[in-house]
Amino acid sequence: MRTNIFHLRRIQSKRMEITIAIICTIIGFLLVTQFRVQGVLSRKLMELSEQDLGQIIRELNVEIDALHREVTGMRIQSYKYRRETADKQAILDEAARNLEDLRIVAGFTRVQGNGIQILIADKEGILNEHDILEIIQELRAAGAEGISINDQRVVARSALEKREGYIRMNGKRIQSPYAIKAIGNPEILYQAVTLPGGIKDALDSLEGISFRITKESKVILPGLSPPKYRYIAPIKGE
Amino acid sequence: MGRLYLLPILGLLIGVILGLVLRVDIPSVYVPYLGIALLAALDSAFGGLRASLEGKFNDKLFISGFFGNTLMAAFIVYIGDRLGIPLYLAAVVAFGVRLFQNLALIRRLIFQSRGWG
Repeated sequence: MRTNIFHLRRIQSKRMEITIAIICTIIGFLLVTQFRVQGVLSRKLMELSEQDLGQIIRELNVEIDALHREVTGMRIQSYKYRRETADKQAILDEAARNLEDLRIVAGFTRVQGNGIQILIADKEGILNEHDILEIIQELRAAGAEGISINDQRVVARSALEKREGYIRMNGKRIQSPYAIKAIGNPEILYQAVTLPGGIKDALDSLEGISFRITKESKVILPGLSPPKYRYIAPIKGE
Repeated sequence: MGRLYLLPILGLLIGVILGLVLRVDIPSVYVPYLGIALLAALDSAFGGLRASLEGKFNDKLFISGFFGNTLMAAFIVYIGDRLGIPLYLAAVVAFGVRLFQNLALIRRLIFQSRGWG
């Protein structure tokens, strides 16, 4: 009986020991695994963070550089465009100014300025184109920048023709009373016309002609619409 | 007395060697679960040691406690993760506190049994 109990206890004790041993095995296994995994994990994390951070920083730096370059490039391009635009604008302005000058020279625009006005009444109709032409010549010689007769602008192409009872200029008829306007230095123009033995004297001496000249602070000359050229063309390459 | 510890220590050694040899890789996601399971297992082991020193050791209780605690700990942590509640901390505190209590008791029991206290 005693031995039996003792034997039983021994068996129980043995079983207990084995059980504990198995549990201990499991614990040992878990311990080592956890230890290793945790170590590997933290090491991997550290490596990851170091390498990755380095890589990320490098990549970001590269990206920043690229973006900086892009910004610089775009600034340059923007500057170029702006300058080009400015250049174009300057060219356009220049062209516009030139065109304006040319239009003034050509007499295509309404213009104003200091000048004189001459009023000639020809009751008898004895004035001919040569008289008018002489006045124009005299005014031009005195530096008139623009001349008009009866609201017809005198331009380079203008021609005067004597017709029956009237004079034709720019395809329109002009007749007494003639209102001749000229833009230029009023004093010089005035003197040029009123010179002793000059036009005024010559015309005043004629019968039925009244000649009045006034200096004007604001003379307005009409523009002449540009002609249509049918035969003339510029020579290319000049 | 010495012979009583021989087999468990041998088991522990075998477990360590197995772990080293097998090199079981666990996905990093499951590492917290394994950790908490290990804590529960240690708690059970020390509890068992204490019980045996007190002469109250019950192998069925011990085994059920070991597996039950381990699995429950892992499960609770998992649930906590899914719910967004850090039950992990609760498990760590609970098992940790009990572990230290058990260790203290074991120390006292060893002192008493040796007649040092």
